[in-house]
Amino acid sequence: MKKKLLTSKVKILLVAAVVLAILTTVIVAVTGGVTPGQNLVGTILSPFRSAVAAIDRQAVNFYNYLFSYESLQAENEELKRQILSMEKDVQDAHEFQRENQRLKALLGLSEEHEDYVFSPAYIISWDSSSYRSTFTIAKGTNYGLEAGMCAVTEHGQVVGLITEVGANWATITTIHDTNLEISASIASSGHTGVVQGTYQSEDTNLLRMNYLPTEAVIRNDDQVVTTGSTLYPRGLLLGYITNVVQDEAGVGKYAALRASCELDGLEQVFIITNYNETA
Amino acid sequence: MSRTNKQLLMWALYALLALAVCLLQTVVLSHVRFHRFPIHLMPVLVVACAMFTGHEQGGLFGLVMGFVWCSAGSGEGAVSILTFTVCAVLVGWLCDAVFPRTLPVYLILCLGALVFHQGAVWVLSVYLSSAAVPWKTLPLDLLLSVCVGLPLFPAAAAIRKAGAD
Repeated sequence: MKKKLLTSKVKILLVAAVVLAILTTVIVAVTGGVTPGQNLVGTILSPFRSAVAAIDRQAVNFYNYLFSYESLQAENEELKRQILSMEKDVQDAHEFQRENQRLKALLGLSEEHEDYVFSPAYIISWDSSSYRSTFTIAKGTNYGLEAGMCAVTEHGQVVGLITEVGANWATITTIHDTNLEISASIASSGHTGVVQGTYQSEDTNLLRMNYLPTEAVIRNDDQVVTTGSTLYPRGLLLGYITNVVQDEAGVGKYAALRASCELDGLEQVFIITNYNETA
Repeated sequence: MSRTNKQLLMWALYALLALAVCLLQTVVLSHVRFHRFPIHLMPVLVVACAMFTGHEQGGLFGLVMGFVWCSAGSGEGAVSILTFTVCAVLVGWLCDAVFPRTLPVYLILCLGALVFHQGAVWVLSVYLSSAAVPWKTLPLDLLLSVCVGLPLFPAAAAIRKAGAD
């Protein structure tokens, strides 16, 4: 025998459901969104929800570890690549900033000596020897460089001379090298001599100007400049006198100089490839 | 064990099952989406319990679950009280009078209950609020919910067996 659908209990249940639904709706409307048992149910469920949520987080982490590991790794690699690229951009920006400052200074020098033709070059390597002071640039005869040409800073301070040159490289021996001798004169008095490096361990920035006449009156901080050659102009700053001493033979004097250019941190030089000798 | 104790055990186990499903629904399935589709397990739970407890006891279970679900902040509103009760009564009666308590019947009844419940929720949301309800995905939501709710059938059957004389 089939059961009757609408028994008295079922009728009561349905009426109760309708009443409860309407009552709940009215209470929600009156209280602004809070159902009658919401606080009670929420309070009872809260610790269980916390526990399940913790388990869920662990499960999600485990799932990600199992199934998203490769994608995360790929993403990580991509981000690392992006960081490297951005670091390179920052590095380039700093480099361009420094180059910009140097070129601005060089512009002043060019305005002062309009006849000078400069060829900028980055230093690509330094001599690792303790007794030499040379470096290599990435330009050579392909840019019209020749042995004997002078390398200066953006402020016109002499760095050294080209001593060896190849098709796309050139070695510059700095004024600090003991093997390099540059004909020079004292700007204030015109006395001439030869400047060479000293490589004194206590002050590697010290130069020596030999063959000065004994009667020459020389003051400290006098400028010493190049006398020029067929390959580089006269008047380029080499250094400043710091001391004058009678030489060992007693027939002349030599002066100690403080080099005008600082080799520390030097990264770009400017080769004077042409100038007007009569200027 | 006496009949009363068995009945108490059965309802305690149904309550635990309901708690588990409620937590699963509110904590896990509230943010987990299967290809964007939300899963609705509560109507499926009501169907599973009503199938094995009959239309009177099942109806009471549906009423309580509707109220709990409404109070748990489901967002479906007080209509759940009514739909869960009606579904439970109808399912319990159909299984007592017409259908055998088998898995295919369970799936069909689940689908029917989901259509009724979600349809009521959808109609109310359309007419009582201006919210745009994505009705186009509703059939897939419901099919997916039935599939995910499949384990509730053997669970409800086992609990009923524990409470049987």
